Amino acid sequence: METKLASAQKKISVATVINQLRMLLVLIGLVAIFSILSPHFLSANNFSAIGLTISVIGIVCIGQSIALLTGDFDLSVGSVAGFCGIVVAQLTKNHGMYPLMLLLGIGLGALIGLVNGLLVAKAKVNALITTLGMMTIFQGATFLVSNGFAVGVNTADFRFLGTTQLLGIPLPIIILVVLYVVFYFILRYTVFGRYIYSIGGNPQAARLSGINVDRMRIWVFVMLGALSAFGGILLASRLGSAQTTAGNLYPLNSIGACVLGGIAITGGVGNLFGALIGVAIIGVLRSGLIMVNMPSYYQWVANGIVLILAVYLDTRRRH
Amino acid sequence: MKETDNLVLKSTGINKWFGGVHALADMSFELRQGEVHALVGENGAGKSTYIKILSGVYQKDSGTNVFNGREINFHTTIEARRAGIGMVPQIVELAPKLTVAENIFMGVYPAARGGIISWRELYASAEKIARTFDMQDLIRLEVEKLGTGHQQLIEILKTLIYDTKIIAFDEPTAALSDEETNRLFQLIRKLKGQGISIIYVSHRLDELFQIADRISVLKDGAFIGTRRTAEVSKGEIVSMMVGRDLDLYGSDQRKKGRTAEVLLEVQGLRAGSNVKEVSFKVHKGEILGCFGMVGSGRTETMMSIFGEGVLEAGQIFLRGKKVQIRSPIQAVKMGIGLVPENRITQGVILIAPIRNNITLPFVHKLARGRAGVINMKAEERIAKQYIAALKLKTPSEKTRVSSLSGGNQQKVSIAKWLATRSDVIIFDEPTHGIDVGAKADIYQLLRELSDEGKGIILVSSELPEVLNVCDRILVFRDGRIVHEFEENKGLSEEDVVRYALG
Repeated sequence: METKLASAQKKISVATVINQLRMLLVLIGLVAIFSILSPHFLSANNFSAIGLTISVIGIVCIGQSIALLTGDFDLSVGSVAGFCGIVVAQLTKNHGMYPLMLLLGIGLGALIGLVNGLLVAKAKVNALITTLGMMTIFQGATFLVSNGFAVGVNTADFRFLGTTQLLGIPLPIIILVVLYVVFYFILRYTVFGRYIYSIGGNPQAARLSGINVDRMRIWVFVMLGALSAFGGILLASRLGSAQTTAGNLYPLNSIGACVLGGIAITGGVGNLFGALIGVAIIGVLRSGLIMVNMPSYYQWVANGIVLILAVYLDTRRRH
Repeated sequence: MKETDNLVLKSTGINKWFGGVHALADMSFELRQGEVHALVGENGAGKSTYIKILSGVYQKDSGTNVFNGREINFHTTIEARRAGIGMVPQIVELAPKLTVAENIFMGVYPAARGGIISWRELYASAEKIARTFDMQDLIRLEVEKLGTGHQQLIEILKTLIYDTKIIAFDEPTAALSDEETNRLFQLIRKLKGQGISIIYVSHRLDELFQIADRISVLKDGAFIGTRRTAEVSKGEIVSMMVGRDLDLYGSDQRKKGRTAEVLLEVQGLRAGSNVKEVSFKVHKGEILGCFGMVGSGRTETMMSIFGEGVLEAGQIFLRGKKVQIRSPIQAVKMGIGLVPENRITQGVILIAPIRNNITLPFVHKLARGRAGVINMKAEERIAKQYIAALKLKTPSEKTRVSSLSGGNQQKVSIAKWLATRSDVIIFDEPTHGIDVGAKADIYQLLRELSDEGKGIILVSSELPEVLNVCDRILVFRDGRIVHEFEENKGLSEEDVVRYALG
């Protein structure tokens, strides 16, 4: 009996590792294919460009991962990123005082997250409806704030985060890596992380063990809002202008990347390393499609396919 | 030979693997026409797997099933039903908003050409089938308006659409009251009278002796033996199941046990429709039994003490001090633990390691002064300590709870509160659906806890366990405590049941 259990147990952990290795292979495979199709793909410059592209969605993905691990999800991440980006750009343009505006923007994202969290955890409005509603509200708010135009800001301080290079590596990529390491550690070794996994595994059992499930869920949405806002501001900083449609693909892409990386849509299973692989796959796919001269609209098609494929793989893993 | 003449089913060398788990290992089984044949064994022995293979839910990996002289290997339940093998599942799965007749014919609606359902034919056939159980008046009723007992009958009626030869029941009485159980037994005898063979899977040995002609025992996926019910004792079946003689309730060897000191007192508790007026005390070192039928308000009482569910009136005192418990968060802080009724949905986190489950209520204490970082070494030590103390069978403390047997999962749900060092621990049906070996361990554990000076509340609908383990017994009925047996000495089951039924 004991050996039987031991072998079953080994199979589970081996399966998790194998899944991550498999996704890593998919990533390497994609890189190989695009390298053959396009002579410019396999270059330090292009990888740096891909890194820059995924730095923003990657940050949003950290928040989305935490939400998914808790058993929730957030469709408003893109609108929040876009809205906070625009607001910070507009305020900086009008008043300067950039570092303060950056904090203000992150705070605004956290506040929106708080509203999401209160609606989902306390008012018990379904997360799909809540975040779908918030997605639309802040998409609209973004247009209202900007009258539908992008807001360009070209001051040095506003562009610092997005355009600085350290030892030849763009700062956003360094920020991305640091955030992943920090949050990986938090999820794995802290009480906060333990509660996240426990609630995602079985919210009922977590509550009956004395965990304040509602409060934790609210915190998760607050963090998610703050991370999305930071992502949006970073994007505006990198481009030198805040776009009104900046985050349109984030909800789908962030969930797709997480699930692709082995985070279960049902909660409680997966880790950030997987999510990072998922993000990289989406980034490589995007860059590759551009390099082989596919019209950019194909990205939308590809993203949809990746999302469904990711969830299909996740479902098959669990049966 | 007469005995083999009327065999309807003969299984030999059946093997079934689920990943690394060998669920059925060269299993064999024989079923005669018109008999009620019970299949027993500990959790994970392979009983359910076997009948699911017969009825087309799973497919065997090897071996032969010969049914009425023909080898069978069904791929769907409908295929099996058409051939004459039906199954009544453990958990009744019906569409609550549809009528009884619609549920009976779910998936096999009689349809005219073009796929349009022939309602007249459906109701006519349903009426004919329902007549078997005198349920013909109910067929147009929505299923949700029926009780659990009736809902299960629909599952049985489903199997009767075709010319059924074998019906397999998977733990059919798990959710039934005594009265409903008796009614089910009458129906089973009726089916048997019609020449139908019954395979009856159950944990409850007592009822097997009421209903079964023969009993077969499975252990670790293998066939152990078949006995005629008339010629075998309960003890013999149990020792076949566990492979050793087992004294289920053991002996009470407590040194201290019950004291006069009151740990928990509740007065005039009222909550929801099921807790009307409940007052009682729990003493240090005692095991307090709360007996009552399902729905008598025991679970709701315990949940409201634990802060789950709205307390409308009443007071709670801990060690004489009045307290307000608005949520389980507060209950846990005040030293109350609760092993909930349903270990899968409420008790454990299946996908998490044993270790995380055991430390969950107090894991924040393991991170105190460490900026929220859990002291993993201390956590591992605690988990190992309680795995050993509860004789939890597992390869490691990192093993996921989902890969443990039911009994060991329940031990995880219990270990949590021992490790939290709760003073008062409420056990709600702790031995429900677990094997006898684990049951015996849990009874012993309850006594050890009481001897350590904890206050133990044991909520149970199994009278033998209440009578054998508890110091004092409260009987619940309709949201009230209708009787208290101050001393549990020389009581018979009838004494207690009388109050529970009113």
